[in-house]
Amino acid sequence: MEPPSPRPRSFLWAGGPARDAVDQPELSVLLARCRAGDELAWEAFVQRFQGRVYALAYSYTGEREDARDLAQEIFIRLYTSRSKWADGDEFMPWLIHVARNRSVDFLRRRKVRRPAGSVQEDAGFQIPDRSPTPEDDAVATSQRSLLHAALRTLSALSREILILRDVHGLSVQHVAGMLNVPVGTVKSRASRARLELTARVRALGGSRIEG
Amino acid sequence: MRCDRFHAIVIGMDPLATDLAARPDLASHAAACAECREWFGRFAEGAGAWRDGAAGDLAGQVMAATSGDPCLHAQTLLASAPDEALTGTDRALVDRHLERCGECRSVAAALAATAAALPTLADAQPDPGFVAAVLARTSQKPDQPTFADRARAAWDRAARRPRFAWEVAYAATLCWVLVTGGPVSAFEWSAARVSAVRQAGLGEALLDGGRRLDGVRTAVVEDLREIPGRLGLRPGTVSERLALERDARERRAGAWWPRTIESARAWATDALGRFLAWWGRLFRGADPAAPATEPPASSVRSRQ
Repeated sequence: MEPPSPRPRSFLWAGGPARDAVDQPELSVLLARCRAGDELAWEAFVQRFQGRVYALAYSYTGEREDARDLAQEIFIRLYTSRSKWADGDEFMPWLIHVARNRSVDFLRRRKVRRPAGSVQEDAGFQIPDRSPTPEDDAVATSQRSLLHAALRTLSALSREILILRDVHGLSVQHVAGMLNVPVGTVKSRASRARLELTARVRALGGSRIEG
Repeated sequence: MRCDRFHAIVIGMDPLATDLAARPDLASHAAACAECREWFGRFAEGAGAWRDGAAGDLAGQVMAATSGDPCLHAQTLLASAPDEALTGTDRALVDRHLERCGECRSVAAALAATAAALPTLADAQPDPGFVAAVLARTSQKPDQPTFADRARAAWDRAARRPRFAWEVAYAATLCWVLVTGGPVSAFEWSAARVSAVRQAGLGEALLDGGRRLDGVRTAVVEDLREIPGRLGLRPGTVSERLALERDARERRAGAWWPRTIESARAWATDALGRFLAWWGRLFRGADPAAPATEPPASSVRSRQ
């Protein structure tokens, strides 16, 4: 009896090379598919942006459970407003804008306006696994904790400007529009906030950050 | 070469390289002028002492005694660099300051490290069930039917019942009987009211109303005739003026305008008469004493 012929490693590409890693679809294609109601595209969208949305939610709430609930609310809001998504390069700033607005509403409803950064260093708050060794993981976690603790000491506006500008990479103009403050105010506040944050980090044990 | 010129050139030279061998013109003047040669000796000795660090932190001492330390300014420029690129001059000045100031070098390094570390906060992984929870509340959530869909579904269910047609016919008949009157004691007033109106003569009531309006019009015209007298004008001024204006309008419109108005008035009157006759014939059966053949339209016209 002849042994069965070997099955292709990937049924999607029978006879072709198997893929070890899933290629990320182009963002514009993904957005178009989501707008069209493609459920697979929506799932890929959630997986792709869950980290960023969750991190933004956490920066406002400061607690994992609240951040999880808020992140879910943000995604539900995105899902119901699929037809209004921005295109191209404007999508990320728009996404952050929506997430920020929902976060503010969430905090208003919960009547909580405490600074972000009450970090609990445990396995529940996971960082993306980009580190090759457990020691690097621990260092990264410690570094993030230090940054969160230092951010907590800033004023609300300065902290929000830093989070939007330096953490999420929005332009000065986008930040000014989102917070409804002049561009000059954003620049001056950001500059002062960076110096303050650096001083706090050094005071709290900045060797974990430097070099 | 003059001595002041010699001094200016030497002072402008790099203190780290006070050697006249590269400047034959200066060397020849120094050889010729003893005073300049002596002065240059002292200058070179001072430059050597400075190179050896004998002057200490001269720049710091001068800054402290004058404008104060520029560290805050330098640090502010470094902190604002991500938002607003430093000019070439600012960059050069900051670099020069960093060469001298160890504290600012530490701050610069810390700023760079923090700027590199902050983006790592942009991504955080929630618990493994997060995606499934989001999908359960979004794309996998069943669509709620709209009101129109529910109404259509209810109608379809009702229409499939075997006695649906009988029930609809029964309800429609009941409604018709209730609205139009008939042998239902509770709605006898509808037939009685219509009969009463017909008996009273709708056309006669309209004509009576027209007579009353005519009387009001006459009274108003009489009052208008008195207005000129009260204002001290010749009697008939207002009516004459109105008549003149009417005549002018008619002349402008041509003779066809009055005929058109008259024709429209006659048509409207005839149509009203016909309608009243039809209304009367409709309820002739409720009143046995009502005339059966008299045309109501001509009766209305004759009353006019």
